[in-house]
Amino acid sequence: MSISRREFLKANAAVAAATAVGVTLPVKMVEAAESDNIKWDKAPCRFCGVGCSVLVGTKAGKVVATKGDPESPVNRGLNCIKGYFLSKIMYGKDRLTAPLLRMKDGKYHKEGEFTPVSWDVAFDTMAAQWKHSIATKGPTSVGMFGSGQWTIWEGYAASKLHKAGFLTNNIDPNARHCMASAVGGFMRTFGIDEPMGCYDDLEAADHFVLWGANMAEMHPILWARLSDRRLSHKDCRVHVLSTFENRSFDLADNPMVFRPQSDLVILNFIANYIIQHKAVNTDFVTKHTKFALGVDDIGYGLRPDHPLEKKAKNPGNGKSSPISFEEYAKFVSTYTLEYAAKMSGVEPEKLETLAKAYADPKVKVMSLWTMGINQHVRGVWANNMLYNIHLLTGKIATPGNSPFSLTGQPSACGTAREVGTFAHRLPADMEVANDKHRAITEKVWQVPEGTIPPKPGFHAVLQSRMLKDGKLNCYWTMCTNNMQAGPNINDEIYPGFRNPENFIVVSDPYPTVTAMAADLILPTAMWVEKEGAYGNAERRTHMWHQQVKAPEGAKSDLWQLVEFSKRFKVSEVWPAELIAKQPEYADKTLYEVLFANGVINKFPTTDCKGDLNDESAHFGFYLQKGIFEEYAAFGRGHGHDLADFDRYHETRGLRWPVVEGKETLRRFVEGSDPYVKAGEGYKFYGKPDGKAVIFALPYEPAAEEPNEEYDLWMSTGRVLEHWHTGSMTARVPELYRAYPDAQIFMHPEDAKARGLQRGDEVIVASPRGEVKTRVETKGRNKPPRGVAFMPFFDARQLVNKLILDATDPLSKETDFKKCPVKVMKA
Amino acid sequence: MSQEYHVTSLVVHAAPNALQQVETDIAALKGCDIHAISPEGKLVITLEGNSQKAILDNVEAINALSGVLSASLIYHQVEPLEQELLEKESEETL
Repeated sequence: MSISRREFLKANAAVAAATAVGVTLPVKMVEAAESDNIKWDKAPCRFCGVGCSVLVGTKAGKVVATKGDPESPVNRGLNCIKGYFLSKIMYGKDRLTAPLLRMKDGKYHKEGEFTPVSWDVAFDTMAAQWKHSIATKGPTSVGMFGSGQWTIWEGYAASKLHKAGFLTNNIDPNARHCMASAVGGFMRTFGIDEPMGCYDDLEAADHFVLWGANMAEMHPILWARLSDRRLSHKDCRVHVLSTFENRSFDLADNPMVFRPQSDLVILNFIANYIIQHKAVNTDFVTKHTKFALGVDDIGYGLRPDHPLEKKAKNPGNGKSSPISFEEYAKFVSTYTLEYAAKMSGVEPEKLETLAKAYADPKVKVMSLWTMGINQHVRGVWANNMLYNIHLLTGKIATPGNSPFSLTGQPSACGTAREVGTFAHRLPADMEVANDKHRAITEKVWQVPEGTIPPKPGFHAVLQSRMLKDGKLNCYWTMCTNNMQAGPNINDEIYPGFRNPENFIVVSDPYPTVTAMAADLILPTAMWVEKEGAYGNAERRTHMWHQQVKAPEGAKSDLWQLVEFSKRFKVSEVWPAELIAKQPEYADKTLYEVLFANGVINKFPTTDCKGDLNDESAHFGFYLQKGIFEEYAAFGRGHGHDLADFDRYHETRGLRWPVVEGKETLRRFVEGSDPYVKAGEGYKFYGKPDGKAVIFALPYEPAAEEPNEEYDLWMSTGRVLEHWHTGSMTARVPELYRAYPDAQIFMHPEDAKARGLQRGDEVIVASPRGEVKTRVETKGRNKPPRGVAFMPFFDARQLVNKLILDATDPLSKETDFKKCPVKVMKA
Repeated sequence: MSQEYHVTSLVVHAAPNALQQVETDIAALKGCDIHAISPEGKLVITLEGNSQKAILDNVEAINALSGVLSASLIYHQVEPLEQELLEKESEETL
């Protein structure tokens, strides 16, 4: 490579960066940066829920470069460090290329060795297990654990295969571990899922409040936009709340470190402050809201025989009863400044500064939160309580006034939530327990009435328990790594995988911890090796074309799901009574009934504008477009309108509802949302009376608190360089080297009190297990005394085995943030 | 030995009162060039190096500079270096 070649590459890089910030470079530099035979095409980033667009450069069938997409309204040409190394995620050395089945003496054996087999052998073995299980133990003995990283069509195909094919609702996404409380909050307050505002609020708000979210590391691109606003708008202020000091504190005007679980007290204090200081927007509150008292003492979502569940008066009860504004005011009146300061440990003047920001009618406030609020034993309540303070002041759905639930996965919204891949949901916010919703779905799916079971299936944590108890026996996980990400691994996840009664299948591009615990591993095509669609946190649906071939032998999740359906005849899995309602289906395969159904197979492969589409080539029709159009029929005209399929390939995505070709920036407000009529002002149309609900909910303690033996609170979470369990990022050498091993972040005095120094090897233990790691007292996270933080990306340090499988009893989402542990010298 | 040439570009956003210091600190890093500075205090930077680690160390060093609010990576490309050039380049300072 010559020096001029090097200059050329450098010029390319510099021009890309200059474009992102809108500055011009000397002509010489620009001229140097001409095309290099790299083919560029757009794709959303494979990682978090921000939904940045990247330009993917391919050469000779391989992705060789990526750059921030200057045309993207989300990231405007920027990338975070993970997005920037996307070109490498597909090329890890241990990429899987053949199905691996545990075998002994030439056939499947639970205790056998992983042996490469053909796809036919893999699917034959699987289908035999599934048929036997359904015939002997019924449809609730089979199930699937899916993903907020599935493309929209993968989630839809999986959901349909289970709910209408295998007649089971035992399908749940890993989004249960991250977004279920947010969903619960939206449904309870507004009756419709997902944020009313959008990222444009970042350029319109005066004050930002981070509730437990460390955006500087977890949502760096939105953080860059927020930083811009802070520096360019003189009245802008940033309030940061967390249980430990993190990188987001660098920009904080009002930094607050609070005691775990006391966020509930702070939220009610703010509501009380707004009322006491006569800052309630009475006109808004009277016209557009109503008040309700929630049932309390709801338990911790543990097994029913757990002492904490037995002690609770109303375990799992999400009911509420109407109350007046006066009753609500009285309810929150005990949450005084003094009480909030005492419970949270935050200085009273800081709490007051925060409350004032919400109460001042002239200040536009954007609240931002993710896992600190969602992974919380009162996560749904905490979401409700955040909406309370925005509703009391009417600071909602207008530019800069925005309660904004951030997302962790690229399509937790687009796939897990909108498609309805949860155990209790159907597309477009419908639910399996609702007779009308099932009837609508059965009609669109062209299956007889009574096909979809009315009872919600096993949610994520319950799936693990049912596997262990031998009630769920055939289990397929896709695009997720629960043996590392899930809670209480030793006691509640691993035993179910190795239970001799069970057959476990894991689809993944790499041999993850979960894959290695399975009975059959299926090698999977990923990201731009297939055509895809994701939906990000601001309701933006965006698509990409397949840009390279997957390694020989690896198949996309979509191919796997649809191809597997060919192995089942309807008569093998449906009861006679159901077949009697549509006897012509008896001899058809599930593939013919669910996918080659006249709707999904109606678009020719020639409709695809991409260079490659392996699924369409295999099945003989434009599978992705067919699924998308069948799915979109659920939402059009019902507040979830999606544009025509082709438009998503032509644009950098559109925010739903897309009505008459126009996307919607802010919902529920006249002039922006096409579902709000002239003269209505606001309309929370998710509720039959158009009114959002303000909930009276109390503080209740965490499931466990530190005690004499386990004397530190521990939270697990992410770091900038890695995404979730590191199954992709740890295979990028640069990212791995930048942050190779997990550590436990502690206060230096806490370390000293245990005879520990920075860098010492330690055992971190809870009653459920222990991990070995090293102490960090000076790093990017600075916990106060009594608190520790440990990231969960490191497969050699499975820290989530320490976590209790306590969930929010309403959302069933695990609390990964408040686990009492002890730390000892190793 | 096969080695690679890495080039990376970043936009670094500096606090206005610290811009000059940040500029000086970044300019002192090995393999680093500042190509432009926007009126809002954003620096357009490239990093180059023969090892992946050198680049990442610089990214981390920039992140840790006081006055740096954010550092966004924009572009990344890797090319294999041929042996004779490696020898030649080892005499230069990248």
